[in-house]
Amino acid sequence: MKVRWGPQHPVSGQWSFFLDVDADVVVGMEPDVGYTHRGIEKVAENRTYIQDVPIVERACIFDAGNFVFGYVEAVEELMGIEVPERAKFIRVIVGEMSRIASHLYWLCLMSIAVGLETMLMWPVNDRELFLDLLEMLTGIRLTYSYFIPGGVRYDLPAGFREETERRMDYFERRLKDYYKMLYLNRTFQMRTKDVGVLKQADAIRMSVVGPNLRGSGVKIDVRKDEPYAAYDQIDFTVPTESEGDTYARSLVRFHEMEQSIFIIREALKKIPSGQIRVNVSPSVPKGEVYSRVESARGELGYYIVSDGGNKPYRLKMSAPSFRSLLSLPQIMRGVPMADVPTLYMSLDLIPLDVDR
Amino acid sequence: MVLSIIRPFYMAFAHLFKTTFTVKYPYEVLRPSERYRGRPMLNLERCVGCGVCVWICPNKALNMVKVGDLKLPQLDAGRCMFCGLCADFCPRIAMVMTQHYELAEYNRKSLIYSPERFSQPPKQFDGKLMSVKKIRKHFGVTHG
Amino acid sequence: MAAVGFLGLFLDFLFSMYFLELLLKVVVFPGLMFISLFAMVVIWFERKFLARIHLRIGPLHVGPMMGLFQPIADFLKVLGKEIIVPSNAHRTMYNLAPILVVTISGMGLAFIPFGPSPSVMSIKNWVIYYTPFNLLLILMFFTIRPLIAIGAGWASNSKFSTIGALRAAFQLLAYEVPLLISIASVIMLAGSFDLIQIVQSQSKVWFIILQPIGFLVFFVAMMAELGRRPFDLPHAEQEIVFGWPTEYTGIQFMCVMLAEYIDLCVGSLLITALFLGGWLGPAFIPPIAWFLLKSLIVTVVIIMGRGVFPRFRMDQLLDLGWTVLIPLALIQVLVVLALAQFAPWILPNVTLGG
Repeated sequence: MKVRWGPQHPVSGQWSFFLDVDADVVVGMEPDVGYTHRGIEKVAENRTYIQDVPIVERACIFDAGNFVFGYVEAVEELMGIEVPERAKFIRVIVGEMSRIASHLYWLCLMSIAVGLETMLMWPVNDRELFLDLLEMLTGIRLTYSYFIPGGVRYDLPAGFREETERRMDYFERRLKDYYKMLYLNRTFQMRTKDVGVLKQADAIRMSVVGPNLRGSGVKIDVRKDEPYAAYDQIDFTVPTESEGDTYARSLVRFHEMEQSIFIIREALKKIPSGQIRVNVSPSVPKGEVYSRVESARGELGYYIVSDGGNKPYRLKMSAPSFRSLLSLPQIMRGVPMADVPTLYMSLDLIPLDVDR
Repeated sequence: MVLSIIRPFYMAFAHLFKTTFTVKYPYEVLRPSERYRGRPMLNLERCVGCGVCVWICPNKALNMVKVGDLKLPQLDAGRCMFCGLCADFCPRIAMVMTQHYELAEYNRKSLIYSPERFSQPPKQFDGKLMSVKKIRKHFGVTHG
Repeated sequence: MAAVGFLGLFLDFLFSMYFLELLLKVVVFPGLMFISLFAMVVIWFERKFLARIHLRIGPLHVGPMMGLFQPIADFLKVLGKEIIVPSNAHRTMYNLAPILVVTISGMGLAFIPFGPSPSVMSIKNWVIYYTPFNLLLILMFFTIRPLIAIGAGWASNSKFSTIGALRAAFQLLAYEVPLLISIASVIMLAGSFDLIQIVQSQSKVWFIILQPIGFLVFFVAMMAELGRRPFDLPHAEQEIVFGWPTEYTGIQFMCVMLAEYIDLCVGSLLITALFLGGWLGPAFIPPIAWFLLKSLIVTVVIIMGRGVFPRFRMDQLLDLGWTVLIPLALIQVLVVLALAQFAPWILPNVTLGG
């Protein structure tokens, strides 16, 4: 029986998939993407480099900081300029806060998929703490447009440091609460252990990225392998688990949140004073560049081709959700239908990211 | 194993006695921060009609219209994405971002702000401005 | 002449105290008005309670304070919706199922005794119809429910409804067995099938202290029978939009929801009567009030389960039922038998065939 988990479904998101169901067991699955395709890559060809900053971050709203981070890194590499140190540290802070906000949103989605509404409400409340901090710094809660080629737009406001420290302390206590409520909950462990196992060889072969890859035992993180923008001055660990099931992937994201708190604290301690921005010329020399950053969902790559003008000739984003999507039909074969939302949410696929 | 079944009950029960996180909008309104980017606002005395804001807007939300013998920008609030580039790039500092975010209208035509309407400051908030005492006391953090 | 005689008898009956008392019981308490009030209060309470656990407020604006009239507003809204019958559904069964499900769930209420009270009938207890086998009859109505759910899911002729009916079948029929076995040990202790007898044999000590394992098994099995989280597979909103009643709108949807809350009422009344001493308690409030108070506390615990546990998967659910609950229930029965044989002074009322 072919069931369509369409866009009008409580948990499917903005895409649909076709499931082949045989009395409560899924035999095959086919994703159907394209509902939110906005043609961002084509729109970016008709806007100048600085006008592209708000356009590119709408490719994935939940993790807007890291998406723009990759873009400005690529453009600066093409221009051949170096941003001041203070701007690098501020970028790291904003990127990590964006990562925490994205992981908290993932936690909400994962909890509804398993059926626990309480763990939807608590993380979404705590995400407000970080959105308030970002609003204090950049002016807008979700789509900040804060990085521009050459630096950042505004400096840290007065009182930001104390505010951040206070909220970090509160959030660390809340993380312990989440661990006790969800990860040590007997029913959640029954639902997620040994479910959707992605073996290490399969994960590498199907080009899975991000916490999904780290949950299967492969220790790859762009912030450690090719450090960019002050990540080489901060010493943090990359959490990895080896089982490859849903519980392992969830644990990896949880520990990444703890590491992000550590990175933000270190960055606030080590931040130097100075300029936040250098002057850049509007037109970019001819050339092409590929540059990667680590977004919350995985490795995000930007390929920009410039022909010497002030608009990019071609801008291509290699989105992390699209890469991880390839493994979804494989791990969904032969599972009972109750596991379909669990597996889908555990890979943290955002349809906005897949379609761009 | 028994603890992993009983502990969630205890934690949920403990949350019954905490302060709620939601506010009763529109009777209580949370105050945005100073840098909050609502819709832009034009300063008619300072604007010379150079057109830089129209050129820089990524969404083409600003257009020049003729007012008297000057050309002034007109805003389409339905297209604006509140990026703030027009305010950053204006050479005469005639464009500022206000904190006005309640921009809903009943039809599309009234979303277009003519230069006179564009230059008026936003009205005050209707509801009681949420006192931050409640949030500050509980979490030890402030808002805005 | 004979017709006038019959008319006289009929009018005699109509204006007798017997009929009036029966009318009072059926319409006010524990009949229609009590059920509607219970459903509304429990729906309101569930929304507010879960909202406070989630650190939000819940219904707020409708009503004098704290959104008390919100269920009434929902009821009026639901009445105004159009009743849609899918084009290739089996019309008779589709339209009959909501009526049946409310009726059969409500029939359970007709047999539960609510406590000693002055009455015109022969048995001095507030019950609509008294038989010495009322526990068996209530359980019989519990067992018929899954069949109607399967019928409604099949008649809707939609994929999600079919899957929901299948899950309802698996879950509700599988958890009948631990339910009945754990009741068997209570019946053995009390010595009769009559709920009045069972409550009266708890006058020295409640059965929850004598049979903790039986209480646990009965509580979990009752939660599974009612379809409450963590056992709400038939209604799993995240996977199969709403399960077997997906296609129902308007009044039919309201009937299905009402039946769910009537079941909750009957279930918690049964738990209270069988294990928590029924209407026994100190005499400063009337026994009926004790009964209702204890069953409200049981309802609150059942509701809290919704905010605390994720949902089980089908095979884990059946695993739990068959490998954990049935052996525990059988162990409880064996314990009761052993106690009856070797230490009969513990048990209040032993009549195990001499």
